[in-house]
Amino acid sequence: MNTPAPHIALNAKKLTIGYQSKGRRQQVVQENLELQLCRGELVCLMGPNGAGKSTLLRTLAGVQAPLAGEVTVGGKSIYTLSQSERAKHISLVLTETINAGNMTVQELVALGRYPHTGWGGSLSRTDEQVVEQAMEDLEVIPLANRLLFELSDGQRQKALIARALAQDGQLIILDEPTAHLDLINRLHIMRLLRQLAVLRNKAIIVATHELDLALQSADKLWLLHKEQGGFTEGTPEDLVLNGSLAAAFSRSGYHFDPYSGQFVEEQEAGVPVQLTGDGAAFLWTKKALRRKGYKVVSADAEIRVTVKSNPSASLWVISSGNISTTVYSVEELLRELEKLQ
Amino acid sequence: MPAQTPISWKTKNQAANLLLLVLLLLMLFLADLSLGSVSVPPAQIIKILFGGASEKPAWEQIILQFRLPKAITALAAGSALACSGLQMQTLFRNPLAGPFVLGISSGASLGVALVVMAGSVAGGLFTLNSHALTVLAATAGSMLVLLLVVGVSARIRDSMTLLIIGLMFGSLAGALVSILQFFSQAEQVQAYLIWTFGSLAGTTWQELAMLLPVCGAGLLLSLFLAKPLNALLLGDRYAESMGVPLKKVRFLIIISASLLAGGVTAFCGPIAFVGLAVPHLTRLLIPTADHRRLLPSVMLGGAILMLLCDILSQLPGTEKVLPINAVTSLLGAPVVIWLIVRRRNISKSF
Repeated sequence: MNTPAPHIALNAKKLTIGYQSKGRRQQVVQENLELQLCRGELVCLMGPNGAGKSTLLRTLAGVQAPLAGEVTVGGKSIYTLSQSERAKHISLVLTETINAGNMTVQELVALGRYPHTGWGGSLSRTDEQVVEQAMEDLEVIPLANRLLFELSDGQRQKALIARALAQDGQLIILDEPTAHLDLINRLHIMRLLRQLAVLRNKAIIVATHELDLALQSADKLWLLHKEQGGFTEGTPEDLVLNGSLAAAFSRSGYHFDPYSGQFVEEQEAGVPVQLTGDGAAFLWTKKALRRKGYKVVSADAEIRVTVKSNPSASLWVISSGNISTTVYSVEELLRELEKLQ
Repeated sequence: MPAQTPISWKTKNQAANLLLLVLLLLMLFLADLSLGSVSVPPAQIIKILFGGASEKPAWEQIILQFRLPKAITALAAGSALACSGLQMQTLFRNPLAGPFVLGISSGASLGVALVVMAGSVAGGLFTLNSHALTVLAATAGSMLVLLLVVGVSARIRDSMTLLIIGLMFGSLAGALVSILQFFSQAEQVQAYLIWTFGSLAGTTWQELAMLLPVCGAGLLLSLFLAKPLNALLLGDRYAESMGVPLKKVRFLIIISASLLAGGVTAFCGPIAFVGLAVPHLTRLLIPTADHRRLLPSVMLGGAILMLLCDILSQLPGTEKVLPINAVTSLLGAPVVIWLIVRRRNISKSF
């Protein structure tokens, strides 16, 4: 198969971001960032609060000038482009709420053509086709004539992404696009974004706090650490395995569990419980025991719990000394364990 | 292969709605000319307007010298204030914004108050109290506030800050007017108060020759701003990301809205309510967010409401004429309340 050379959409060299206010010292947020993103790639930008995610997004969107360094999109420096030229390369999906209730979904998506239309804003046939395609890609065609205030959060988010897509730049930047959405909608939005990256050949940056979602859907992660200069990038799995992810979010009292891909509270020295078993029931029992402050061990302990399960039901055998009890739910198990103490 | 889509790009029966508004406007215009202390039959009015002689020569005098300039003033003032209000509501994304949020009418009031009342304070320096002088003073006052607001808007990024500063200018001017009133004699205060009631009847043909170009320029400018106004509906940040040059567009919107509000206030006094309410009423009747359709509809709506108010202000069968400012609110407020209660979503759909 012959694949064309990857097209670099975004390139940042020796980028220093932060704030310069009049008469005061520069406030540097991150220094010497080297970033590169190709068309067809989806990157998730992550980092704890205060690490500079918003500052970086604003700088990459061209809204805020960097303190030093250069950002190019499609080979052109974004700070020398005029505002309307920049709008042809970069489109945004922001977190702020939109109050234009009388606007239909179709009108919203059509606004994406803003930098491409003349002073009157009328759409050419090409513009209309781009809008239709964007609405189809985001599955909002059935909503075309619905007013924005009638939409659910998930539908509105899809309409906003369609608008950004209709703007037809090579780079789309989204700030927390999955906040306020239910679990399935989150997965769905991320899947649609992945499809856009590949099918429509876009470079997509998603700032998110949702680790599990990012691990599932990103081609790359950009991790901003709290400390200045702390930046790592790479394939999500590599960052899990080499400990970068744990380092980026490190905070006493919590640690990253590379098996589950989640951050968990550190275990205090609790009452040891020896847990044996397998399958989903084993994992969920372990979670429940941890939450209640037991120290789950695999070696000998005074209290032993054995999980036995088949596809339709599970049971738990608790043994302590020579007493043995059988229970049929996690709730009962926790109650029995409490009695033993 | 092009995607098969059920999307339609045709605008639905908006033209019919507009035509209906135009017809209503023509009818009210004729009614406004016809009704008053002396009723003139519509057929005679049309004859007079096309240069013919009417049954009674006095009618010609009444129509051409008095009622026609007044009706044209109502038309211009209504569409100007409504268009100004719509632009302010969109720029500030605030349903309570109107043509006077930037302090334009307060500036005009200050100018008029100075001319009308400072005379007595300074000891009879300004004894002249003609309509022309009031117009000049109101124009100077609103221009001053306009220049201040434009100067400030060039420095700040956030539209909300501008709104607050506009309110402050208004309060400042209001305070100065209060001080002037405190030191003035009763007759001067009365004269000033009568100006604040608003009047469509004072404009002469010579004054219309100034008012109409000012309103025309403001209305035309607003039509050129329809595209950025649409983008501003999504908020400043989205608009900027789509390539709207925010400062420039905001400057032009302020110029347009202030020309309209300032011009009308100068000639007719501070007419309340129309600028705030007509955009809401129009959106409820013609639900669209597209300013290319909204702006003409709002202009028509403003002219219609103003003509209706003018007709009602001449109490039928009597010589009495109510202040136009009272009539606009008396008529408009219940209508707006009724519509809001019926539709319930005004805060989301403005």
